[in-house]
Formats: sequence, C-alpha cells, structure tokens
Amino acid sequence: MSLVGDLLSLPIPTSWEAFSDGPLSLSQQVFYWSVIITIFVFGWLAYAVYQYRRKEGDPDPPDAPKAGVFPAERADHTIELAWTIGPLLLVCWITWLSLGPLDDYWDVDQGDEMTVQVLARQWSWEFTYEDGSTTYGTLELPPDTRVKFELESEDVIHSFYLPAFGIKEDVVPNTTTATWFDTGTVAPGTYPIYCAEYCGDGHSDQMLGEVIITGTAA
Amino acid sequence: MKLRNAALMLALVALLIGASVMPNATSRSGGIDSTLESSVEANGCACHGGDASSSVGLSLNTPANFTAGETYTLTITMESSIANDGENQGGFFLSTTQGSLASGDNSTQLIDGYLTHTTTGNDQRSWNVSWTAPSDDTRIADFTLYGNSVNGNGASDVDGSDQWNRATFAVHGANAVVGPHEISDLRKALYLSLVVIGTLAAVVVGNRVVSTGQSVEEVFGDYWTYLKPWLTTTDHKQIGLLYIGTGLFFFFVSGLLAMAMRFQLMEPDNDFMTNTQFNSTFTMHGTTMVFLAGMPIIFGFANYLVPLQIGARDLAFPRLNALSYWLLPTGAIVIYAGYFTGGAGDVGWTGYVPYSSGERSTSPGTDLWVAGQIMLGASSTLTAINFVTMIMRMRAPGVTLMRMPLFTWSITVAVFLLLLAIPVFTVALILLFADRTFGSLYFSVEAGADPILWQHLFWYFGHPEVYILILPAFGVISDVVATFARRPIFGYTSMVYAMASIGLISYVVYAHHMFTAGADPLFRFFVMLTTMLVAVPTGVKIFNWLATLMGGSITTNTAMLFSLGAIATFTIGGITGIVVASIPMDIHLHDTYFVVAHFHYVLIGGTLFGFFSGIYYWFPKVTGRFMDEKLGLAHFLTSFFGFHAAFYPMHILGMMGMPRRYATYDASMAELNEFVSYSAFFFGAVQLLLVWNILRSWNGGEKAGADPWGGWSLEWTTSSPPPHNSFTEIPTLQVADSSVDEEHESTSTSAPTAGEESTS
Repeated sequence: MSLVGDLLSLPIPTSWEAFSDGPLSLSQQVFYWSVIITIFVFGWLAYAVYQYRRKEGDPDPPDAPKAGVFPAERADHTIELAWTIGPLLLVCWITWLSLGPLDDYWDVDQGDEMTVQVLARQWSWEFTYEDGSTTYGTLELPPDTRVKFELESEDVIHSFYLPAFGIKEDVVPNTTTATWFDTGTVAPGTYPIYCAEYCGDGHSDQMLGEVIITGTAA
Repeated sequence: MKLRNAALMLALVALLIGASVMPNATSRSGGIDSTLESSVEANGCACHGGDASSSVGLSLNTPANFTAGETYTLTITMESSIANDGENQGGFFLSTTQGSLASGDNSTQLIDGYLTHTTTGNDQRSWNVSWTAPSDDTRIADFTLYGNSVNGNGASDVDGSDQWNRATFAVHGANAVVGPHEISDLRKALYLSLVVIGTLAAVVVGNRVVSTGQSVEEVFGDYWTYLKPWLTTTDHKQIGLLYIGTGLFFFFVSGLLAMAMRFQLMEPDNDFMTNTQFNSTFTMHGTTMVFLAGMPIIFGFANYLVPLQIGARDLAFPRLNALSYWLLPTGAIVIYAGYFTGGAGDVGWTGYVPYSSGERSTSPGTDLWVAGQIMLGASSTLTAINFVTMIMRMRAPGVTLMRMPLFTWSITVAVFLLLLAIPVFTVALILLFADRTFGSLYFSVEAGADPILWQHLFWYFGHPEVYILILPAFGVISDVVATFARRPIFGYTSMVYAMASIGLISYVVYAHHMFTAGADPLFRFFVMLTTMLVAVPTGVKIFNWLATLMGGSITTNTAMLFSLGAIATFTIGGITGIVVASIPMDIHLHDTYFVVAHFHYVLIGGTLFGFFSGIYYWFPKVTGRFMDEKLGLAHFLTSFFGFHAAFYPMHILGMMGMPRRYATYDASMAELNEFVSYSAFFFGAVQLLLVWNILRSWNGGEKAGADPWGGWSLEWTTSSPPPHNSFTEIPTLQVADSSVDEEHESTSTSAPTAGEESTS
C-alpha cells in the first residue's frame, strides 16, 4: 500500500467483526461518536476563533479581566448540566455496548473443541497439544475449531498476542491464565504471534512466532 | 524532648522489627552464582563442613603468562591438616573463564565445562589436568578451584572432621593489558568531552585574565558571586527557574533518546542498536520524560507562580523547597550513572517484576535506576507537603479557595494526588531495591510471590501520576484562554469541581492498565466504567474553554495558539482514551502503538503544548521582556503539524498490531514507520526554535510592563520581573461587581464563594 493509502486507512482487525456488524455495534458507534465529537469541538473552536477575533481598535468586552480583581462568575447552569449529563449518558452507553463482546471474550469454556497448553519463557513459546506432541514457536491449528489456550510462564511475565485474532492475554508466572478463539473466523493461512509484555532482550525478535491455520479440517 | 526520644526509640524498634521480618533467601548466599554453587554441592564440598576452612591449602601451578592456543598441563595440589593416606582422601573441581579444560587421566572428568575428580581420583590429593589457552592472548583467564579433604569414613561430616576451601588464580595472556579493563566508548566520549570542556574553560578564563588584567582568583571570584545565589537560594522564583531549566535540559536529553529510537525504527531489522541498547533507550526516555522533564517543568511553574498567584512571599518551607530541588539533579545523576556501569536501566519505565526483580537479563544500571527514583520520590513528597501547606495557610486577603486562579487550583489538586500517590511508588521501589540488592523475596516468583502485586502498587501511583502531569496544563490553558479571549473563564466553579473529580476518579481507574493481566471480570467491568467516567469532567473542561471564547475579543498570539492547539490535540487524545477504555477493543490495542499514540497525544499535545503556552505567557513576568512573536508563530506551526505527522500514524500502526517496546517490526509497516521517523526528527529539530527564542529574548526582547496581557490574577499586580520578596506590599484580591455581567444576573454563583470566605 502506498504511504497515503496507509495514512488514510483504518485497519480494523478481523476479530472485531463480531462487534463491527451494523451501525449499532460497538466499534462502529465508537468510530462515529469519535468523528462527531471531533468535528463538533474543532468546528466550534474554529468558529469562535474566527467570529470573535480581535480587530484593530476593538474595545475590551465589559467584563474583561483586570489585574488584582477576581472576575464575576460567568455561568449558565442549564447548559453546564447538559454537557455533564450528555457525555455521562454517552459513556454509559458505550460501556453497556462493550459488555456484549466482553462476555464472549471471558467465556473461555467456549473453546471446547481443542485445548493447547502454551508455555512461555525467555525467549520462546512452547505449545503442547492434546495428543502430547510439542512444537516451539509455530502453532498449528485446524480450521473451524474453537480452541482454548491455557497459558503458563516459566520465568517473567509475557503476553500472548495474536493480532490477526485480536486476542491478547498476559502469561503470568505462578498462575494459569486462559483465552479462547474460533479459528473459523479467519481464513486459513499464516499469522504472526507476538509477545506484548516486555520481557527482556529477546522480546522483539526471539518471541516472534507464527500460527498456521491449516486448509482442511484435521 | 522526652516525646522526641520516645518517638526516636519507636522508630528504631520499628526499623529493627522491619529488618528482622524481611524475608531472606537461603538459596543465594554470598556472591557465588547459582550454577557454580549447585556444582559445589554436587561435588561434595558443602556436605563436608559448613564453611570454607583455611586449614586446607590449594595450589595450581599455572604458567606466568599464556600463549594463544597453547595447551598446558596444570597440577592441582591440596594440603590439609586432616590426615588420610587411604581411600576417599578428597576431591576438587575447577572452572575457568577462558580457554577450555580437559581431563588429564582417568582420575578427572569434565562435567558441563567444569573439571572434577572421578571415583578413582577420589583417593588422592593431587591431580594433573590440561588446559588449552584461548586464541586471544590479550585476555585474562580466571580459574576458580574448590577442594575438599576428607577423613575417609565415607560419611558426610559437618562437625569439622572434613574440611574444604576455595581459591582463585588469574593467568594473563602474553599481550593482556594489566590493570583497568578496556574503556567503553561511552566513557571515552565522556573523557573526551571533559577534556574539551576543560580546555574551553581554560581559554575563557585565560582570556579574561589577559584582557582585564585580573588575577585567576579574582576571575573565579566573579564567577562564584554569580553562581553562589543559584546554588544556595531558597527563593521560590529562583528555584522555580532552576526547576524549569533542569526540566528543559532533560526534555532535550530525552528527546535525543527518542530520536535514537526512531533512527533504529527507520527500517525493519535495523542494526543501529542492539536489543539491550534499545531496551535501555526506551526505559530512559520514559523515565526521563515523566520524572526529569515533565514534573520539573510543572513544579518549576508552580514554584514561580503559585506564591505570586495567591499573594504569598514564598513557599511554606523555603529551605525544604531547596532540598526538594537539589534531590532532583542528584537523583538524575544516579539514574544516568547507569550508562557508565555497562548499560542504563532496561526494565521499561513501568519496571514490571519479576523481570526487574530478577538477576537475569537486566543490566546493572537497573539498580541505579531504582535508587535514583527513590530520591526523586522523596523530592516529590517534600514538594507536595510544602505546596499543600502553603496553599492552605498562606493565601493573601481576599484569596479564598474559590477565588484562586485555575492554575493554582490545578496545582492544588495535583499536589494532593502527589501526596497520596508517590509514597506508594517509593515504598514499592524500596521493596524492589531490597529484592535486587539484599536478596529479599517480596517479588520473587520462585518463592511464590504474586507478580501482579507490583502492577497494583505501580499503577496505583502511575495513573494519578499522569493526571499530575495533565491537570497543571489544564490550569495554564484556563488562564491563557480567559486572558486572550478578554473574558472571564466560563463556569469557574464547574472547572474547579471538574478538576477535583478528575483527581478523585484517578484513584479508582488504575487497573485499566491491567485489562489483559487476568483480573476478576467484575473488577475489570468496574474499572472500565470508572475509566469512562473520566471523560465527563474532562468534557466539561473542554466545553467550558470553548464557551469562554464566545463573545470574546480573541488575540491569537503564540501563547494563545499553543493553548488552542492543546485543546484540539487533547480532544483527540481524550477520544482515543475512551477507545482503549473499552475492554473488547483494548484487548487488541493494549501495549501496541495505539497506546503510544494515545499517551503522546495527551502528554505532548496536552501537557507540553500547554506549558509551551505557559512559557510564552509568563515569560514577560519573569524577565520583563516579550518573546519574539514571529519565531513563536514559526515554533507553533512547525510543532503542531510536526507533532501530528509524527504521532497520528502510530494509531494506524497500533491497529495493525505493532507492539510497543519492539526494536523491529513487520516489513509491511516499513513505509509508515519511516514516515513517523522523519516527522519525529522534524518535530525534535524545530524545538530548537524555542531555545533560540528564549536565549534571544532574555535580554534582547521588547520591554513588557507589569500586566502586559491584561490578566486578572495577583502575579500581574507586581512588577515584571517581581521584586526580591515578590510583593512590595501583600495585595488584597478585589471582587468584580457582578452586575456588570448582564448575561447571567439570575444565577446565584456567589453562594459557594461566600461559603468559603470563613475558611480563609
């Protein structure tokens, strides 16, 4: 892609499709509200600065500040209340919208068709499958399968990040964390695995891995 | 006095109890590294008596120097007071840092690079082994030898009937440099710059001696009379300028670190820096920007302005204030000393354990990074106490709490946050220091500690900390916007309550930094809601600023432009804050460049632009001269567009999934990263316009009067620059006749103000 194309793009991860469907979905609404608020604030700012610009020989407004005098309060309680309650309702609404996809993320038991044990260390990923076989760095998964990942760390905190799937879960020593993913939501192919929690010298290269979704059901 | 002694005793007892209950590691005694120690046990040293004994004499007939690649036969001899001529006389093991060891006969064997005796070799006290020297004869080979002498009863005796000892031997290569180790490049650069500075100083001093005919003592005396007031001052205005100067200096240093990072990220798989160097660069960049650039600039402004704005002659404890300041450069030197110990701290500014508490993979500078930050924590705590006392107790007549300028209000909220937050971080750092230095186990995963504890302690401090950085900028923007719109700020009371509620909410949102760390779902939901709520008071502030402009008479000079630019940029930073607050989106965006973009929009776009605005706004007050408007306008335009060009693309990189703290990235992101790098270089370079403008205008700017902009707060009632005691006479703040404000005569806004009157 060209640089301009890159700069204008909005690369929404495929995993967000679950909550990007339709104008009332979470990511769509967040996007539209962001644009609306930005245009509103920038528009108001530009309008005010242009409309009320100081011209040569303009007198000061009657309530202009004077040194050593606390200015009289300028307020309008109705409009202040309005722009307190408006944003309050908006963020509550977005919180409410966030709960739906969140339920889905948190319910790791949905990954009932396959379980992969992930062991992270400085600096490699070790994947143990249900049949006891083990791979390092490369994770091979069948298509259309709901997979649960059980994550453990040998040394420091790592974070298991699959950008194409939009999942990320910290790998914490002394604890088992878990996350899940349905491989049916992405096309078969090879996708990167990153470590997203800084873990030392090998963080940015030795922790690179790949996940391969095979073409046919295993 | 008795009470004081009792308190002292109590403190001592508390310290003793503290020291005795501190968890201690048994597995890390002395300086022996763990692999060596386990070998010692495996080879039967530790089970033959508890401590090393000097009654066992060990010798190794090493050559005086070694020749590269040559093989030598070394003889180990052990002499002991324990007589035994039969079986099981003793054993040994030997390791070396250079070359390779090999077994000489069947009495010795090689295990994991260490040489030790075999069962056959157990019946003697002298062994022949062979050693091949390394191919580089400039090196020094260090040998470590353990030997134990046993009485042959076949049991492991710890009562002293078996004895063991340890000895080290060094063999120099034929061309080894004896004495200090090789000097690192960085040290060479330091020595070189010292030589250059020394030479320049000699030239400058010598020139004065020759041209004015003064003696060397007189010249230094002159310099001393100039320097001494700065080194010994307790005046809030001078300390304020020292803070701002220090802050701007470290802003420059940290900016250079950022440029180095962007140079590394110009192309994927760049080898400009090693991973370790990159790691310490982003660590030092973050730590410096937050603690050595951001906070000093803010507290410099606060030091200079808050006493003037509330009509006080100085802070409550001026000498304590000087101590606060001097802890800052001292702590900074300690943190940066890491560069001369083999690598500065490389644990990220968040310093997550167990990576930061472990010995593995962190550079020695991390210890200094921790120690220096403890000093900065002490400095900030003292500053907070000083400001809280001053603002609560030392306001001039008429300056009630609800009539303080909004900059003073923002500092009030910030110092309360500081007072409650920074001691937590300091304590966490002390625990970390104990772990790293004394072998305690607060964060040791091996001993079963919960690694998430550090994140709670850190972010309990860390989130209020970012509000400590942004709130004072809100204060600056409020004062600047009202002054240049020539109208009172819209909704003063709601502005104060908005800042106070941002301060309160900041303590219950911190876990949004830990959404992926596996916390309880209900807890995460609660934190998502509270985080979203921050948008409400922040929105009120933005709308109030915009409403202030209405009906005004707006002058768009540099100070005003930076404030308006900050409002625009901060709005975007606030919106992306909502995006990352929503957990489903944050799971993808957490720890990616989206987050990097978000907090740079807030901290550069909000804080830095706000304080740039403050520099242009209060410069006439400090120096009595205006800054150059043309240069200022150029600085604003280049900074504003340079900033957006450098940081906007990071949102896209983050959505593509580029994780932060990466020294490389996927080739598909190369074009965007290159664009970001060039924009960042541009943004960094144009900051020199500010430096040039300050230097030029300090003595050469157009003269300004006491109230050049027409601001209302008390600092504008004193001369520019203010006299030594700030005010020739403590002023009284008047209150404007509210009937002038015909727009809103029905509102009863004086009610809260009247209520506060009795407290002042």
